[in-house]
Amino acid sequence: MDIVNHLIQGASVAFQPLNLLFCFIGVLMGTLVGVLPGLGPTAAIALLLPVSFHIPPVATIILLAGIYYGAMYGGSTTSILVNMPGEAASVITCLDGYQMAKQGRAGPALGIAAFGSFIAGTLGIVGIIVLAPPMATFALAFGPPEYFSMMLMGIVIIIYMSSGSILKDFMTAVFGLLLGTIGMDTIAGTQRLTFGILELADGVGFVPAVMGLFGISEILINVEQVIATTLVTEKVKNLFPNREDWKESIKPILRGSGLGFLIGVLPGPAPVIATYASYAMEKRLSKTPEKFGSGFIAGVAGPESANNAASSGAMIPLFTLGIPANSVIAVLLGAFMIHGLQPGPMFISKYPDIFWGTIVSMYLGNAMLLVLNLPLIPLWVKVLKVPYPILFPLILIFCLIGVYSLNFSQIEVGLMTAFGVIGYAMRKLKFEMAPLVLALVLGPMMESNLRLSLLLSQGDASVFVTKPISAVFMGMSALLIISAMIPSVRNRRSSFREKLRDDDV
Amino acid sequence: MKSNYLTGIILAVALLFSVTAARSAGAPYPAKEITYIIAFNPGGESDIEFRAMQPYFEKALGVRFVPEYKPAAGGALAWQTLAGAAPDGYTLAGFNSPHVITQPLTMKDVKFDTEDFTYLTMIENTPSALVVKKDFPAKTLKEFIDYAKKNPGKVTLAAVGRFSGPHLHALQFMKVAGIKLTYIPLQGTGQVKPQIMGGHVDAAFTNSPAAVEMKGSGITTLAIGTEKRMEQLPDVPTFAELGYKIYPRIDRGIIAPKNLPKDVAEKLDRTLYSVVSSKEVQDKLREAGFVPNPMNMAETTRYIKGQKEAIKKLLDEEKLMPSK
Repeated sequence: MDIVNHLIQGASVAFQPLNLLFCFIGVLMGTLVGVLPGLGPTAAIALLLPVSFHIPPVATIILLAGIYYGAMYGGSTTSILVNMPGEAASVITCLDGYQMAKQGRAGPALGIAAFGSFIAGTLGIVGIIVLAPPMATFALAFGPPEYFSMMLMGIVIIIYMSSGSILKDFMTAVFGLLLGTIGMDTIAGTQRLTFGILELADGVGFVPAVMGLFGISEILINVEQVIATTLVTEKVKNLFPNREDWKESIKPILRGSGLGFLIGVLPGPAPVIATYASYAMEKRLSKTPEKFGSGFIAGVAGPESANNAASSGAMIPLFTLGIPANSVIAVLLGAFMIHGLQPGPMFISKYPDIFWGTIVSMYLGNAMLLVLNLPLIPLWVKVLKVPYPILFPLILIFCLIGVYSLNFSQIEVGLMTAFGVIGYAMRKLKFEMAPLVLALVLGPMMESNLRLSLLLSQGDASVFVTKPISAVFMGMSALLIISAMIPSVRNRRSSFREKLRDDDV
Repeated sequence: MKSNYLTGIILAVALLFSVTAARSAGAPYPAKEITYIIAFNPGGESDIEFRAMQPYFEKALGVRFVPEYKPAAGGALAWQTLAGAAPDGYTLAGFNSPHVITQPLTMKDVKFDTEDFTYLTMIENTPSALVVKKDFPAKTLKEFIDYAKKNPGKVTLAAVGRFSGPHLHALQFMKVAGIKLTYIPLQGTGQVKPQIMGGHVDAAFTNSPAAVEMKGSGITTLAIGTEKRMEQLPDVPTFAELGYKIYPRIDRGIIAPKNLPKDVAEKLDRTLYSVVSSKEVQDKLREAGFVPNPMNMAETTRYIKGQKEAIKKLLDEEKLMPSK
């Protein structure tokens, strides 16, 4: 069959020694960069870009792609171990992953994240092979109204993510939306809330915000408490997921992969949305939703698979449309241009070697990452045994260096510190931080898509419900809100009924 | 004994430092590496252009060129930094026009002026092209203008940014064609392609590499802002040949802080110009989709001045100059 031929062709490219070498370098660097809080794949890619000029195009793409999903893997490690997400897509993993680590189950968490990502990566590649052309057309159908409605649904999903007070989570989300307005208004060309600081023209950086909210505040909170000298005092047994873990996780992994891939295909910050959506979906479908947030493995398995699948899905708009899903992939696109490769509908037929070679290499990369990361799990778990007085200053230093190294900007370091204080206050008042992050990321895009939609429709707001895809998302948002309210209504009625019965008796 | 030893070492080290310092102070320019600030992200067009020329610059001047990325505020941060750097020729930056002209005029909090730089050389330009979506009821520029005249304000035209190069091109075009379109500001070239290819906007001003990439996907390129037709797009007429004397494009060159010492400026002027006008470099630039356009210091300075006057006039006439 055609596909088999393609795969063989791809394998013959991917297994060439040079390409194998670069695949390995890529995933290794990606993992390192992902694990270190603050540094992101962009930094690694910027460092390796000069090298890429002297190597053939396939090797470049393999290298850069390797860094990208390597960083995804690495990012989960810090989320689980020290509650510090390496990047947007790892924020959700912090919720349950870190709790698991605190309970001495860091090993299974890391393990399921690795395995889940691998399975998702594999499924994602199958997805690419089978679905690339139709998916590309699907992605093009998303215009501003569709994006707005989808993101609105994303915000509504917050209801399902919350383990505490929904009201508080929405408050946090609104705060995130407000923060998202800081910066240059791209539609009118004016500066908002920047107070004369040019660095803020691009908005509050995601990295300083996350590192402050999660990293710095974590340290501040812990320093306050009288704690045992190590993070995990019970003996860490079971370094790998056991049978029960697998039972809980297999469906979330499969569902996460599917959802992640679909969302990944859409141009935009897919991995973030994919992780939140997967978490919400798993919670909704779970028989034990109350366990989420307290160290439930499905809360790690689903999102981790989703974000890996989304990264694979993001390759489709890159190759077939030349549209990068985020700034990291934009660098990949730049690499294409340097080598004179034209992305577009003709890409797959014009450069089959490169396309299939990259696909097979991505699979190889996933496998390499699994092999690399699994044996490292006991090592990572040991990190948790480092006494606080040593561990936390180290984390603090990494955070500071990491944020500064992004743009050599003291403003961003200051921002991170400010967020650290805000995060500390929020934790004290028992507010969740994940909704803030989601709103910070989605907010600016929601706003620009809303305004673009209205510009395009010449002020006609009905466009959000007259366009089919947009109407679907709007409908789903409404349904989600209603279905969230119904259980509470039902509960009150059933408890009322019980009360009556009790009274009778 | 021990303290003598220590003193000896300190003296030796101090001597070593003073020797090297003296060496670089007395040595002819350039005596150490040059920092080249890139105002955008790695992998972007400015980066690609720099990498293509880097080995030639280094060979011609005999020192390393070290890139420093300072993306933020559409390049404004990088140029602001350069304006404040020491005018000794060891810090240069890539610049874009009309960005360095429009930003001080239209953006608040920008702490540099167009005149704060020494315009050393112009490298290339990326022409803009007017494209229309699939199935749009106009397949030539004339048909497009007629259609727009019959439906004032109804046709949507997308491009990157507000008060950016592409926005100015759209304004210029609307002025010379005498039509009114609804302008849709987008955030980055990455957004232009899906919007036009998905049919969400009627038309767009986009850079030429994107127009080339979209060939064969149903998009029609109506006109391009070059002086002569582009090789990669032989069927696309220029605005000029259709009677509209506009040349929408983004220019890229190299700048240094103002008040450079005369000998440094001259050396840079000569060397950089010889690199950007060499056949090898021009071929490399063409391969990457740029249109080589070498100009030396005098020509570049004159060009920027002319552009600034034209842009100010356009913004004033359209009453678009924002109050700051």
